[in-house]
Amino acid sequence: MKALCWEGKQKISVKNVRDPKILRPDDVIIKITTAAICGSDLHLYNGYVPTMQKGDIMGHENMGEIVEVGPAVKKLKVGDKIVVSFDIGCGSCHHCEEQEYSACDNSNPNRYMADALYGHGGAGLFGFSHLNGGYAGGQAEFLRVPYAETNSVVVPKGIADEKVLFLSDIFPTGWMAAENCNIRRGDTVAIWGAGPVGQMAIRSAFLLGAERVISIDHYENRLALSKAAGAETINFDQTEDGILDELNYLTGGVGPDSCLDAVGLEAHGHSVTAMLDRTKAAVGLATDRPDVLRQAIQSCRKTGTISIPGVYAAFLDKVPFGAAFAKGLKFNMGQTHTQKYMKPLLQVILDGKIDPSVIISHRIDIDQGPTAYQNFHSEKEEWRKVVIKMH
Amino acid sequence: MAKSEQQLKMADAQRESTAQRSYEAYFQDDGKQRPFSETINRPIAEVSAMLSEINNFPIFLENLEKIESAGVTSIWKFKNRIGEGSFDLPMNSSFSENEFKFEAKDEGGFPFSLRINLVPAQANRGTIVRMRCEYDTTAGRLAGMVEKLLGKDAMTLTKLTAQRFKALCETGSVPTIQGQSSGREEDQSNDSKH
Repeated sequence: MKALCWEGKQKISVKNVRDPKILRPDDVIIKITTAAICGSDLHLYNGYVPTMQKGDIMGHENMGEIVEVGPAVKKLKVGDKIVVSFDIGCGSCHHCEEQEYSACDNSNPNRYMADALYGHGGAGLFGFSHLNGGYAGGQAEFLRVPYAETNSVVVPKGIADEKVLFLSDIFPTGWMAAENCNIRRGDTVAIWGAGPVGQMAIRSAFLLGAERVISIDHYENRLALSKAAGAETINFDQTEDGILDELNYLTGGVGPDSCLDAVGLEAHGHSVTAMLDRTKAAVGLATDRPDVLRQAIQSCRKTGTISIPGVYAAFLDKVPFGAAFAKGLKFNMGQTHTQKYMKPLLQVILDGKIDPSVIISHRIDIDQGPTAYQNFHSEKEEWRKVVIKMH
Repeated sequence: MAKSEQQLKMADAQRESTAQRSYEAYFQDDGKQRPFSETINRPIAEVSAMLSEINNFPIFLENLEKIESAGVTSIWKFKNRIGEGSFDLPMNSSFSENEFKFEAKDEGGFPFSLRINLVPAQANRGTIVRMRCEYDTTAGRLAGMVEKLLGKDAMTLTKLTAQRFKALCETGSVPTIQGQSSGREEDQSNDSKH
């Protein structure tokens, strides 16, 4: 089969590889019909996530038709079309029983490695480094789905793939991020990053009761999409006084009730601290560039909530924790417990309340993958969300 | 759901028992080195039964190919960690209440032991498994240092073994990516089957 493989920093290639096979009794194999390139794939592309190996198959936003089932699979059958969660839960450990799937104890065969870095390692993830299990991703013609009954939702026949594909990651991620904001009716939520997760978070925040959502980015195309969803917008390249003053002005000096960082470790910007972050990262003195997090902590109202769906990998420098303490901020963060949200959010889509497909900017076939990665990395104004049409 | 008074009393008793054990020797006859500990979301009787079935060991103990006879003495067949082939290790086993000890016989020439004990976990969360693998590397002290650097020293092996045992108890098998597709050279033959 054809697959998009990581070959090193900023190098993706299309390769012919072996078809996947059933390795455990609760596996299924799917024929990928549609997959996507996620913003977090760019962290791998840019070499920010350790323990990638040359030849690893990329991709964690996947859906397709089941072509083979393992002997222990009872609730799924050949021919079912499923969307697959990006994080892998075993369904049986304490965390999975608590619906905290991304903290699964058992799915990551390399958890002992992640324990060394994080104290306690989390779930395995598709196509996201060996620290996260080393599972092959789905930017390929076929995919093995372990613990398949836990990590998938069957979609009804007749619905377009593009409507439901993002149940695999960014829609639940945006939703959980908004839920993590502890929104009360009438609240104001500021969201950094108007990319796919930011867009899903905007729409989710309104559905969860926010009165105002303020979307912050510097790509006009993305901010236009935020406006279309009802958000107010700030282009940080055009804000002379800085984000803190702008948000204080917009909220009558109070600050947003919650601040949501949908950017993560590769923040851009022209502040002194942002430039310092870039310099340190360039010479290997830092891993993450947390300028959005600094802004969110400074801007949030006293006793407000910081929600962080953006990916951070390791150590953060000069984060104003004193401000967070002084203001009594609450923090919610982490990889999404996707499986908890897939079914209820499928219903949100079927009810027509949110259409995740609005974020798609490009549709490609797998042979265009390497170029798409390059363009997605360097031309974010135009390239917002890339969908790979497979079968 | 609210817990009954009886369940709360049982949880208290288990908590006391766990706390008491933490001040005792790590194992009944030796307290020299702290074992690795994992909590398994299954009752202690079930975990104990899993350990009593010696044929389960090759599933969770990496490099153990098979155990040829069960009982007090048995032959454990390990894969060589460097190069091809395998080697046999005669082992003694001893069991007491919720404590399991497997130790290589002197004539095996390779000091290896695996010790496990089980205590109830707090808050009715199943069973705490305390485990310690000990061995001397077959290739001497320098190789031992290399093993530590590469992450397969005895402590790392213990962690990996305990985590795989937990997965076996909770899910019926261990997680794996062995045999999956990749773009690495060895996986590039396109033997399409779907």
